[in-house]
Amino acid sequence: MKQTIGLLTKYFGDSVAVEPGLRGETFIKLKDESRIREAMELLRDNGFSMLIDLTAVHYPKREHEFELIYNMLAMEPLLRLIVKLPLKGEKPEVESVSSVFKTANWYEREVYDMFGVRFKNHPNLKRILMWENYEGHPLRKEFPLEGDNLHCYD
Amino acid sequence: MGIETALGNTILTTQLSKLVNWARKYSLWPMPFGTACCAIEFMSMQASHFDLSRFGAEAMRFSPRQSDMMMVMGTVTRKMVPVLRKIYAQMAEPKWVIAVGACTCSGGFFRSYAVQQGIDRILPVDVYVNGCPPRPENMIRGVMEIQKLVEQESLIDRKKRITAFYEELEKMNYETDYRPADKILR
Amino acid sequence: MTDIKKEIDIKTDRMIVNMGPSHPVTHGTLHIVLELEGETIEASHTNIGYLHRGVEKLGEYRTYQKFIPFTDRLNYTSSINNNVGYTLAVEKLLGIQSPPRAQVLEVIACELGRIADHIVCVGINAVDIGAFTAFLYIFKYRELIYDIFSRMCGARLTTSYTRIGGVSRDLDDETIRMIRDFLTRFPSAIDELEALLTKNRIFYDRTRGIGEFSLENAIQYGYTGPCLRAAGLEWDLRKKMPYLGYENYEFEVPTGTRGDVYDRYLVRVEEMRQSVRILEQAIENIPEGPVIIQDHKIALPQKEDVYNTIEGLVSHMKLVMEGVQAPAGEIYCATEAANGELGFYIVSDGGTKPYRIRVRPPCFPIFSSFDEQVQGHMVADAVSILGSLNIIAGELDR
Repeated sequence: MKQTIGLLTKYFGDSVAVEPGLRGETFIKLKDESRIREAMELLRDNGFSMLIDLTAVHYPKREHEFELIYNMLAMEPLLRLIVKLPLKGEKPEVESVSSVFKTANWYEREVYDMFGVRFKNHPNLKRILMWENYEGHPLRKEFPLEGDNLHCYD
Repeated sequence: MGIETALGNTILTTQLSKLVNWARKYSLWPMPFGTACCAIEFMSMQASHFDLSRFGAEAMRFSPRQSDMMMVMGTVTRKMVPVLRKIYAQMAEPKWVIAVGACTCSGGFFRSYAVQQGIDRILPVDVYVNGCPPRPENMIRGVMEIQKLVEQESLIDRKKRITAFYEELEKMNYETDYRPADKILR
Repeated sequence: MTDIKKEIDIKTDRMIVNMGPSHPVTHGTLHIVLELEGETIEASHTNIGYLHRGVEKLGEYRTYQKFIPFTDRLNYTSSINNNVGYTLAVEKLLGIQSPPRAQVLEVIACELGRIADHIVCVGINAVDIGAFTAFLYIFKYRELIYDIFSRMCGARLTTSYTRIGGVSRDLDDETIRMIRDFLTRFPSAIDELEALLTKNRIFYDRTRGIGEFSLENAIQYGYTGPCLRAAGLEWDLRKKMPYLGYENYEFEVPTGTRGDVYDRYLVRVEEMRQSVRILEQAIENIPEGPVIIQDHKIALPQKEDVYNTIEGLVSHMKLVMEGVQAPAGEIYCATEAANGELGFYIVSDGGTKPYRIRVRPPCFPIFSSFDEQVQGHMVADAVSILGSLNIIAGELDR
């Protein structure tokens, strides 16, 4: 794990910060959102061969409203690394990593659907869980639990 | 060996609808519209242990055009509503609907933006089966209720009832009767 | 073939075949559009979300205990594994551990759940291919598992067995007898299933070489569980990252070689055998003691205390009305569910409700590879591939 962190700081310098987790988790915060693809490629080539999960969290009160969470897994030996990517603004846009990990394709579509984060260079950025012309992004904090419209898919 | 050996070559007098209904009762062809957990219990109901075929309703047809009893099992989401409507429309008359499980009857505990809160605003439901998910015995009871209904209700009455249902649906004011927002949960 | 086509100049259009959302083999609610050239699948487009119920959003509005029933409905063929996975995640967040007896009971529950899940997957996969008998034979044993679950927690399918810091009820002697009885009867049932399917020529022809998926591709797509093992990697979180004391049990992790439908079937069947092995060891060594931790800020006190002492009543009321106070922070906890890695990512802001709860469903990434997997196969093969992936719409769409 130390090796990986060393590697990341070597390549990304100040834009990488290590955050201690609650129960021995390692979080890595990447401040430069334009370099996420590069970081993923670096991690993939250095043992973290699987992207287990990609999701987001919405913090409406912060300056960086969204935080993308890339959950990485190294197989030999078993290591888990969580890369966080804070994003600014109401409708942020970030580089897609679906060319690095094929599984990111659907995860990114889900994040787009649920949070409205757009991914650049994504092969097929459409809604995945809700229907095409649905309004709003359900997992944003301001979205009411029971929805604010009654449109049915047609 | 057959009813005619017992009665001989006789003539029976009865209402036509009663005779037809009696025959129809034991040859229901279910169309399982299973979406979620209840469909797993439906599998149990159909498989060897509970065995739905004891009630003459084991001939599952996944094509709506070949079946006359629709069993809606599991959560119906808003995305699924048009599909459900379409499949119901494809079924040949006469047709019956069972709403199996809490989600189908009322939305269950999925009171969220994506879930249709009960299918009785979409289809004329004949029998509601409670439980989350209902035990197979309970589902079988639902089928038996349908059989009772088939036997007792003539199709003329049924037609009137369903027309009344759709008229009611037309009259419903979507602004007031159908409001999703419930402030308590927020 | 192409020459003949050129000679007589057949003009063929691609045929579009729609599967789902209500289709007998879609196992729930999936929508697949296949583009066919003759019988061969040229392209496939999947459309999911027909069972999206907003579970993650609902979780943000409920206390930690109240989310347990929602986990039942994620993978509803083995709800009990989801219960265990979720409570382990909350326990990790709180920094507690359930007592030893509860851990063994959770292992028993997990392995029974795994068997129940594999029975559905293998049985239904066989039905889709045309072997109905195997389904009827093996499903009888699922009913036995359901009977055990009913005695353990009062429900057949929606178990909600675990609590934060333990399990809801203790096992009684009758349940243990039932589990022992099940363990003596079940191995012969697996033999029966294998006699019906494994060397069945039709089954073999319809599954061997179908949906072959290389290991590199599987890792790229984020495969976990039986599908990854069938592709040839010995990867099981129970071995690699033991939780609940799995390191104390002897069992093997089966792997396949080609990663096709047949291998997945074999891996699942062998896993059922290994689960029986784990169960046999677990049932003999259940330690004595409580089944839930005695901290009344986290677990409900005994009913006698609630009715007879004021402390018990107050802590019961506080726990029910307010819920468990969790420290602020973020954790990820993964368990090996029947389908693969089931993870929960919980973001807590220090309150009694999660700020964000994310379910990492095992079959979401697996299903995303479906389009690539069916290319070049026949339509009928798409059915058997879909069955072997064991897609459960509840956890796919959440």
